[in-house]
Amino acid sequence: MSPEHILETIDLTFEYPNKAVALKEVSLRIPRGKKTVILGSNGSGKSTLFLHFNGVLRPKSGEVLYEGKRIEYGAKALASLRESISVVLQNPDDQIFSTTVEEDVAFGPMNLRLPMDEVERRVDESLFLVDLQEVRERPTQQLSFGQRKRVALAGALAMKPKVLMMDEPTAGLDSRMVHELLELADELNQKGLTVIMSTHDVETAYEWADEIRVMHRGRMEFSGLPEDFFMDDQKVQSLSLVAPMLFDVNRRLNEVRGDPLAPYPRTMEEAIHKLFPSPQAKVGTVKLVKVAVQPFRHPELPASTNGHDCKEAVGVYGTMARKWAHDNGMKVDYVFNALEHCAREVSMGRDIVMLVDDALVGLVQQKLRKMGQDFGFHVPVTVQ
Amino acid sequence: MRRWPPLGKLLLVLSLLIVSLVSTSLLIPIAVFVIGMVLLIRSTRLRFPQVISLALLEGMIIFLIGALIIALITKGGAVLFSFHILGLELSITEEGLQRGLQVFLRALAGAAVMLFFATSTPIPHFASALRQLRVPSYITELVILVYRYSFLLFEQLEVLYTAAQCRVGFRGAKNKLRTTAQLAVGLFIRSLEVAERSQIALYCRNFKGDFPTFRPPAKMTAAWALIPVFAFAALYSLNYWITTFSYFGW
Repeated sequence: MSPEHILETIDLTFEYPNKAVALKEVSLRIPRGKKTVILGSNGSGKSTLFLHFNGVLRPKSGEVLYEGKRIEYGAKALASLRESISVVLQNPDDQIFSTTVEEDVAFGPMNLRLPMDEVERRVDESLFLVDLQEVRERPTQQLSFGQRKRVALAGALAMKPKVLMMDEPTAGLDSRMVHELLELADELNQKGLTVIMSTHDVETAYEWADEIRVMHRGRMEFSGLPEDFFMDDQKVQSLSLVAPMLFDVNRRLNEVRGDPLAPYPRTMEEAIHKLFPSPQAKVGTVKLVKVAVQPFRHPELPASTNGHDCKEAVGVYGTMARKWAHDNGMKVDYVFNALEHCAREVSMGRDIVMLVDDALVGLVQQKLRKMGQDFGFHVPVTVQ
Repeated sequence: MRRWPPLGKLLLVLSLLIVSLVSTSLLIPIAVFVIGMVLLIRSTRLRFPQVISLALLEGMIIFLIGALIIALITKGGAVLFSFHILGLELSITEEGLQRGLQVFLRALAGAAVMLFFATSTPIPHFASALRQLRVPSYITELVILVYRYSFLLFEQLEVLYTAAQCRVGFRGAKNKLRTTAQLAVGLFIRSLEVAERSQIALYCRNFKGDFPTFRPPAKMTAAWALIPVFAFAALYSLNYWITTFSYFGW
C-alpha cells in the first residue's frame, strides 16, 4: 500500500451470526489526512465497515490494513489500534457509560492506563473542543441529545487518534450543530487528523468530502471524487441515492443552457457566483482576525481590531474563536456557517470581520481564494 | 457530604440499619430515622429531587399497609380493637400493634438512611467503596451499568408508552393489559439491542473489564472507621438502657 493511504481493506467479507452477509469483497483505500465520506443508503454496510477498521469485528475473509500493516487481533495490538482509530457511534447513548460528562470523556484515556495529569489534560482539551467545559460535572442523563453527541465526540477525541471515524454524525442534530460539527471536523482535519464520516446525506457528503466511497448492500460501488460519482445518474439511482441539489442545478443548466459543468459549485455562494455572475461595483473586504491562543485559555483579540465595537458584521470560525466571542460577550452576527455568510456579505459590498482560530486561517484563506480562482469572485482578504 | 469517604458513609449506613434491626426498643428506629433525615436534609439542602420525594411518599404508603397487615395477623396480649369485614373478625392486639409499629419505624428509618446515602454518593464513588470492600469487580461493574442503563431504558419506556398512547393502546381494560404486556416485551428486546451496541462501544473505547474512576473520592480514614462503630455502640447501649431501666418500656 502506498504511504498516502492510512487504511485499506482487501476483499473484505463479513457475515453476521444470522448468516446475513454485511460486506462482500470490499476493497477500498482511505487517504491519509483527508476528509472521506462513506456514502450509502440504510443497511449498506457502512457501520459494519467502520467496526472492521478498529478491530471490533473480524472479517470472515479478506484483510484490513492500517498504515500498510495487516491489523492484529491480540489484546495489546487492538488496544494500540483503538488508540489510533477512534469511532463515534451514531447513537451517543450507546457510547456514554459514565455518570458524569468528564468521567465519560476520561473513560478511554484511563483504559489506556495513562498518567493522571495526561488524562486531565486530554479531558480539558476535548471538552474545550466540543464546548462542554461548563457542564463537565453534570450527570450525562441530564444532557440534551446534541450535548450527548458532543460528549461522545469528546470521548473519541480524548483518545488522541490519528483517524476519527464518525458514524452518521449529523443524524438528529439541528442546523447549527451540523455546521459546528462539520467546522470542527475541518479543524481537526486541518490539524492533520484523517476524518472519515459515514452518512446517507448526499448534501453533506457533497459539500464536505474531499473524496467519497459509495456502498450498497455490502458492496463497494464507487471510490473517488463526489462529482465523478454524481455525474452517473443511472448509477446514483440504482444505489438508492439522489444527486445533491447544487450538483443537479449545475448539471441541468449545462443541459439546458450549455453552461460548462466545471467548476462544480459545492456551496450556495459558489453556485450563485458561477450561475449568476454579476459585476458588483463595490466588493467588501474580509478582515481575518487571528485568535492566537495558549491552548485552553481565553484568546486575546489583537488590539488592532475594534473589539467589542465592531461596526462591520462579525463572524466566527473555529472553536477558540467562538469561545472567545462568547466569553467576552461580543456581538456575533454569524456564529456558524460563517464562511458562507462572509462571502455573501462581501458580494453585497459590505466589509466583514472574521474571528478565526490561528490554525484555521490558512484554510479560510484557501477557501476564499478558491472562490476567486474557480468562480471568478475575488474576495479581498486582510489578515491581522 | 460528597467529600466524605464513600466507604465510611456506607459503613455508617450499614451500622445504622443493623442497629435499627437488632434493637428491641421503638425509640432506636426513631433515632435512626431522625439521624437519616438530618443527613438527608443536609445532603440535599432541602432541595429534594422529585424522585426522592416520590420514593419517600410511596415508601410511607407501602410501609403503612405492610405494618397494618402485620398488626392484624400478629396475635398476643390484650385485644385493643376489633371489627368485622366480609364475615371475618379482625383484631389488633397489643403485641400486633407493637410489631406493626416496629416494622413501620424500622422501614422508615432504613429508607431515610438509604436515601441519604443515595443522594450524597455518586455511583462512581459507590463503586469505589464496593471495590474497597473487595466486592468482585463484575458485581461492581454491573452496578454501574445497571444504574446508567436504567435511565436509558426508562427513556425508552416513555417513548414506547407515548407511541402506544398515540394509537389508543390503553383504551379499555383488556387493551390496556395487552398493551402493557407488549410494552414489557418491547422494552426487553430493546434492552438486549442496547446491550449489544454498548458492548461494541465498550470495545471501541478499550474497555479492559473495569470502569476506572476519574475523580477518586476521599480516602477512608481511621476516624471514619470508628464513626460507624461508635454510632452502633451508642445506639445499642441506648436500646439496652431503655429496655432495662426506662419506665416507659419503649
